[in-house]
Amino acid sequence: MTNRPPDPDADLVIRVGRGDPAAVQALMARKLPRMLSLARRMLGDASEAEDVAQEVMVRAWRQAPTWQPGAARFDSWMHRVALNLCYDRLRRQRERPMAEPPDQIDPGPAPDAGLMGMEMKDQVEAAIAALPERQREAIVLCHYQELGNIEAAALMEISVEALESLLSRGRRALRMRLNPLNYRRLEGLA
Amino acid sequence: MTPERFEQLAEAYGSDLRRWPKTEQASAEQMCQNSPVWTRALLDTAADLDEALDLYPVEAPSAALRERLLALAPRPQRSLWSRLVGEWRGWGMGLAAAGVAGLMVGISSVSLMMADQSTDVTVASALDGQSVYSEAVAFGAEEKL
Repeated sequence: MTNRPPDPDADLVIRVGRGDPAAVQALMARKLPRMLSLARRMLGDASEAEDVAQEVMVRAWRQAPTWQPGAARFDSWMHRVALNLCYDRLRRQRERPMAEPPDQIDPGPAPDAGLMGMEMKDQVEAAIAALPERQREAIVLCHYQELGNIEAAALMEISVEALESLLSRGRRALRMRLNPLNYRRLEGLA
Repeated sequence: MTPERFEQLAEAYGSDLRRWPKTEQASAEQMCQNSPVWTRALLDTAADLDEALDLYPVEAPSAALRERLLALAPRPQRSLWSRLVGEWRGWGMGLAAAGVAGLMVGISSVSLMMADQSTDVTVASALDGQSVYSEAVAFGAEEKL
């Protein structure tokens, strides 16, 4: 007997597995924006995020008929699939050969250096894209996906302490990258 | 909870105590009540970043994506009874088709047999006629002789 709360998606997933059209619509309405949001913020690209969200949903359709409630929450399983797909794409981006490799390090401004002239939402997007992947993942899971610390740490296969460290470093980096005018008070405290 | 731990949690999880570890929420609330000034200052700082993060919007799923996914979604499963009925209907259709095919073959065979018989009669008659003609020709020749 476990103390784990029941999976809020369990009934819906079972109905999806039986091909119930209303359940299909409901699960898509509940999960597709969530998967799109995760992929968009992890990858920073709308088109790639849509591909990932589609793949996650297609795998959910395939998984639903044989889903066994109790093993893991369906939402956690979808997050796991989405994160794996995101990391596959991030790895491919890193391994993709550049058309013209630079001979030396670009002395120009860093990708997030022009944040001052951008709108705040674009500043945030650029600042998140500039974070190291694990810090970005931690912030995306805890802030945007609103997962609990235990679930987020389990998804990232790290301890809760390590998650908190990633979150703190990520948030500190974001504050430093975002418009300093908004964070003058913070700097005064630090 | 120590003030240091409160600060760590605000740094990690932000200003909304509901996002903090469940096991520490009650003591954090207690600390906010006991030390409202510095806890408020820490939470306000964290709230600035939370509000900034919330400015990063994500586009809603496109209609085309939703349609593609609906097309790939599981289809309604038929009940056991309707599947059995469907299978029997299939068997029935198959048997009926086989019966009709058998009937057609039977009719064709009978027609062919009858056609063969009439052909035999015709050929026989023809042959008979030919022999009569041959005999007549032979008889006529004999008469001429």
